[in-house]
Amino acid sequence: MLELIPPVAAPTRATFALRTVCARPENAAFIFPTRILTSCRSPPCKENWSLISDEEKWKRTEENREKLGRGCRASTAASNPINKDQTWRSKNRSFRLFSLEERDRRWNLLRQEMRTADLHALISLPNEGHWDQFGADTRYITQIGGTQTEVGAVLPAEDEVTAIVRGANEIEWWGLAQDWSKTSARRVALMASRSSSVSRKSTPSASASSASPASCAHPRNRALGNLRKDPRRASYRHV
Amino acid sequence: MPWGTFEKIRAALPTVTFENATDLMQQVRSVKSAEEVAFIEKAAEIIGKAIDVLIEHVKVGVRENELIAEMLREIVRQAANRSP
Repeated sequence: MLELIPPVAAPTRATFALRTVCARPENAAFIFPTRILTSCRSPPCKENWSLISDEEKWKRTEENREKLGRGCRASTAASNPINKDQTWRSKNRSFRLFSLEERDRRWNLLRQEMRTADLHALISLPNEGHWDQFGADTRYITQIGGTQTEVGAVLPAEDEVTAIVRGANEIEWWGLAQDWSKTSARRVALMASRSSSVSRKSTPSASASSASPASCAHPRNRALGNLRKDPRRASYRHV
Repeated sequence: MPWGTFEKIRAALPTVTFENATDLMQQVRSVKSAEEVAFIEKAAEIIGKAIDVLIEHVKVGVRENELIAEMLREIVRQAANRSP
């Protein structure tokens, strides 16, 4: 019955649904569009938002916020009394960020302790059952976390730090929301498994092969690649 | 920690020995820089303002969810993350 109704001249899905219902013959089975409730509440969409470039989205966002007197540009954001507090850095960001000096201080301290303990890398993985909770160690290393983001990290003693998040959208979002990974992390990779933190230490036989950054990077990437391929193979249980 | 994930990593790196580095992390994190102290003070300030908002809105007949909403609104308005 629905196929007989012309799919044109319907400004909204709700209108189309009503016409469909009215046009049904008596005793015909009642067929109701499943999305009518959400469609009724939304104005007709004139353009496909997903096809708009990020630059255009930012431009419109800034224009709309300026109309509201809450601009997100540095010039207009300065008028917001909240942003007059000089404790924070990056006034035009949603997240308040630690400085790059703080990042270097943390990484240097960690690497110093790692050398003392003869550790070649720290592997920090997110908790498996509480979204972003209990992930302070990873956030300490990467400054990525919060807003229910599950993030892991690998901090080698002599190589660049890698942050691991779930999904391409989070890679893009966290690439904009923070600046630690832009300048120092080699890549923000997809993450496909959940776990907590663990560190690794080479055995005497493996020390020679894992001493150089290049040889150390290969098995690490291979391990993350295995995790990406089949995230559900692992049988989760606590220890 | 998920044992399955740990087993995968260990299988991929058979020559590597794994150790618990929680104490190492805690030791490093326990020493705060001036910048971190400033952030902690700011976080305490935000929570203080949120509690002020709570006290301001406490009245007979106000429901708990309304009070929590006002507190969270103040926290988010101050550009802080929500509490876990």
